[in-house]
Amino acid sequence: MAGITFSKKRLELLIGKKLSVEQWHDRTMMLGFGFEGIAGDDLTVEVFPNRPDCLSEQGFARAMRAFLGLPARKLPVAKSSTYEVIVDKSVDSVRPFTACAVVTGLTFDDASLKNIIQFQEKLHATFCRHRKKAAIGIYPMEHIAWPISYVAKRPSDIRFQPLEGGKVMSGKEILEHHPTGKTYAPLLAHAEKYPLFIDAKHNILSMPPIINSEHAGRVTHRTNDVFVECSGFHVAFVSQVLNLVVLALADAGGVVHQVTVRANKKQVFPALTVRKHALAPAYVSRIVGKHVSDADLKRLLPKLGHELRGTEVIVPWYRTDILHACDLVEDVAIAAGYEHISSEIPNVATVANESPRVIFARRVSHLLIGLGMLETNTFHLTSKEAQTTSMLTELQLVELENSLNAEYTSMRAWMLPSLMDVLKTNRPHEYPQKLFGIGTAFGFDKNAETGIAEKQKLALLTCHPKADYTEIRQLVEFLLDRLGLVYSFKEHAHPSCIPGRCASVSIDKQEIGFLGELHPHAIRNRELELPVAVCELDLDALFARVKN
Amino acid sequence: MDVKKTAAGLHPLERKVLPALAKHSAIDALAQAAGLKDVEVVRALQWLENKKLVTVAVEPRDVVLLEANGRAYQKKGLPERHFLQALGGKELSLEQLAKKSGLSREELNACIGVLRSKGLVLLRKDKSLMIKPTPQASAALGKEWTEETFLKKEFPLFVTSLSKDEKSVLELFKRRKEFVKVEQRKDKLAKLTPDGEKLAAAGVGESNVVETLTPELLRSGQWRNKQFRRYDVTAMVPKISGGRRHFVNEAIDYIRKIWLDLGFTEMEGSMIQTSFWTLDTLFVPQDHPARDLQDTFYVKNPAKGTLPATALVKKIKAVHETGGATGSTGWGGVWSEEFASRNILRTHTTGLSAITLAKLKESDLPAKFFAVGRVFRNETLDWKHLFEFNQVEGIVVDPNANMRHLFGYLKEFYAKMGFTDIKLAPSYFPYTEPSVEVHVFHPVKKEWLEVGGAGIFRPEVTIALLGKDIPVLAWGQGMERVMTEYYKIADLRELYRNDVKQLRDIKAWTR
Repeated sequence: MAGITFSKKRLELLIGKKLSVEQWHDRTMMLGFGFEGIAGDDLTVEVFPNRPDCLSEQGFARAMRAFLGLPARKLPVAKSSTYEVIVDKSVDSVRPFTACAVVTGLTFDDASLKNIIQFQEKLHATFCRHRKKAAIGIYPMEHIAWPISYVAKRPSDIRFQPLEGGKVMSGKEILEHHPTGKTYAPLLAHAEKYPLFIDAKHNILSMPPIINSEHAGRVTHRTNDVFVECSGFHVAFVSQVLNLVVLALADAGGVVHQVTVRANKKQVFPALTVRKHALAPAYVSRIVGKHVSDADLKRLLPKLGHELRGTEVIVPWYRTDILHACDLVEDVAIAAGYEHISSEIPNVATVANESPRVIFARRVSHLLIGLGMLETNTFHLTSKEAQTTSMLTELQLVELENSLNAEYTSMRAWMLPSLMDVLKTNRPHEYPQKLFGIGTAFGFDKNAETGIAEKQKLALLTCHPKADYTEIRQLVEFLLDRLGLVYSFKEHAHPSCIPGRCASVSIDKQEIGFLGELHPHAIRNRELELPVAVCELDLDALFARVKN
Repeated sequence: MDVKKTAAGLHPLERKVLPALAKHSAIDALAQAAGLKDVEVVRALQWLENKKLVTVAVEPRDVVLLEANGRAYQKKGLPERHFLQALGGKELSLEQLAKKSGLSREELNACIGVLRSKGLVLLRKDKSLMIKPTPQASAALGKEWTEETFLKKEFPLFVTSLSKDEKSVLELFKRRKEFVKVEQRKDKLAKLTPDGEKLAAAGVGESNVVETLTPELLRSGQWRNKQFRRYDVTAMVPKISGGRRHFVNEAIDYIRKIWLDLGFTEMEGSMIQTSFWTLDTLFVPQDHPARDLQDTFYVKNPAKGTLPATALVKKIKAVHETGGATGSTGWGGVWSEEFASRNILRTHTTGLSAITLAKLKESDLPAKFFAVGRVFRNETLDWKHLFEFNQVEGIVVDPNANMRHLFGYLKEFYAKMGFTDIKLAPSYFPYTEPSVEVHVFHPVKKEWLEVGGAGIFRPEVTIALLGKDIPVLAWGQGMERVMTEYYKIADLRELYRNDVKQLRDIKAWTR
């Protein structure tokens, strides 16, 4: 998702109609964009990833104009020309494809320059995945000697002055020292050779996907004609991206010219060919839930830039998001207006089923609440320290690769530490504090799809001056008695508990948990000054027992 | 005032204090007169004041306190009496007297001064100072002196309560070293109001009014002859608290009930899933930003899981690369099994829906499922970002399902959540088409809130998982926003902070 700010004045000029703030809000939203607001001339919208064409002022205006029912602006066509880009085999291993075009007759001022740069940046950031999938270059024509070559060279053999670089640098220096170079260096990290666009006079235009040259790659107020290239890894994709740029420039008043890209075979860009999709009114009617006729389709499809010809929909080439007829169904629904689609709960009987595991957990919870205990709800993410050392235990935890929070890097393996953290944060509050928590704990299981076992566990504790083994034992017995279970206790050595004041609890020889008085070390590790009696039970095991 | 009714409402403590108020006004005096502890008197006065039977004012009053010497002489008697007794009717030198009486030089001097002024001793200067009792001395020794009477009193003494004679004793004592001091004290003084006086006059002493209904009264039947004290039922009582469910869980239970009432079956599943189930089966392209390290938690150990049966994996691969048999173009490029087997913390509960669909048979249709579960996003924790939150997920699998049904379920759900004004706008998700964003109108804040996404699963999803293009209505709605609105919580972290005071005191979920 991309928040993007347009000039309201220019949009209205392009659309040919003025809208009130409410209309802007409503129409933007009902066309499928987020509306962030209007401040002065700044109109900020959120463009979802399906509509990269609307990342430009021109593209957004084109879409809005059609949606408002105004006559569609004609799509540009590319004039044939003799411009050529020759692709050298050397780029095959680094960035094999390019699609190029020439646009003439443009006029730029500060605002329109900024606008086209913003568009290029947003496209790079979103649709082109931070230049990983594709990178775009735009160059003034005046310095270019045709034909252009697309070729890869060793970094040490590359020398040119990058934009904003201030001096001539080698390919390697650019990646190491130039700010933009540093940002995108990972994209060329393992490349032996770096790709270049070089003109017939051996002037370097750019080193994609990193940066243009200062000499040949800076569009200014004086620029009228531009060379546009897009490089990447899939012909279809670079061609799509090129089309989006070409559309924005054409809608800004430019005339589009073809460029022949000569690799082992010849291909002419931009490939401004519409696509055809079959769309049956019955399919649309079925999905939308109301009758949609041919006439409706004919009327509605143009609002989203399409056209119905016979039984086929002509999809404009800038709509990169139409993968399937269902995408056209949505466009019809948007054109009809979601607000005009009535709602209905179908009269279909289905039987509800609540998860027995969830029901059981709730029953347990209610039993404990009846004893005056407070239920907690804690995070599953925690730290190794909280789970192990602070509880005097050693455990292997399921760890995370990339947590942004230094204190939350592992998945909890048991619940009690989470409750102890709760006690720690509640030191200023009134005692006794009697808490419990039911939650998922994470362990290992070779047979699970993920290799990870997730179990529902119950921890309970009581903290006050007289908290002791008897009290926690009473709580546990109350719970197990009410669940109708027969159990036994055995002396147990849990590292978190005071030796001799800890027991394991078993049902039919199956150990289902432990209880005891918490070790003073563990108490002090949470900066507490009162005794804590604790218990942890395997709730899934209890559930299995109760079910039998 | 209804004297009878008011009298019947008096607490036993009030009943004892009220008569004492006729003579006394200070707390200590009242306590003594009523045979109560000071705190009991204070409590009774508070209640009587609430009933406007008494006014309590703080008045500064002078009190007499004993100092070190005063306290000592109170116990062992005045030194001048010891002095006279030591003389024993004879003339003695000061040295002899000192030895015999055990008095200090300073005390001796003080005694000489006092006794001379009373005309009980005569002095003569010889080699040393000679002291002789006067004839009146022996008579004086036989009776109690006013000073001694004064000292026997209980201190502190109120200056205003002293007689004229006592006041002159006080003046004398004030001149003697560390005997007494007079201090101003701010004491609470209670006074009957006219109503109070009326009540006291009517008599509130022992009566047949009882405080507690005892088993004895019940068994014996004596309760028939008793009156029960009338309470001030508007008086404050101490707050209590008890065991409670966590407020987030209360809300979740309600949300679950809404879907159960609508005939949905609950789905459950693991929080750690392979990317395959969370993302790939849902047609999320493998280069989608949602898979970036800064958005999704990746598991370090074990980093990879296993993919399900090859037939499904093949289908998913085909769908991503070419659209497979779905009539879609797919995303193009190469779909990596390796990447799909990465273990991640589920970023949404929609993976549960994918698993459910993969298991579903056509004979099970129509079918409706829901889940409320934790989902995870790699966010830095702050007041408006959590890395764990709850999502409510729902799917309706029905050959006849359509957008109108989707709208119907969403509107019904939000109406039951208290939001009757709801706007459904187009949106985008890789796995739904058409896609919907739900906006609800906040009636108090008067603004639209974005609460979640919904749509109909793309054929790329349904055909691969169900084997057939059957419409599946689907939604995944974040619940934290709705909960913080209900509980009036501004900081999202509070939802899972487990502040004991908040857990005890927060309002209940009453929808």
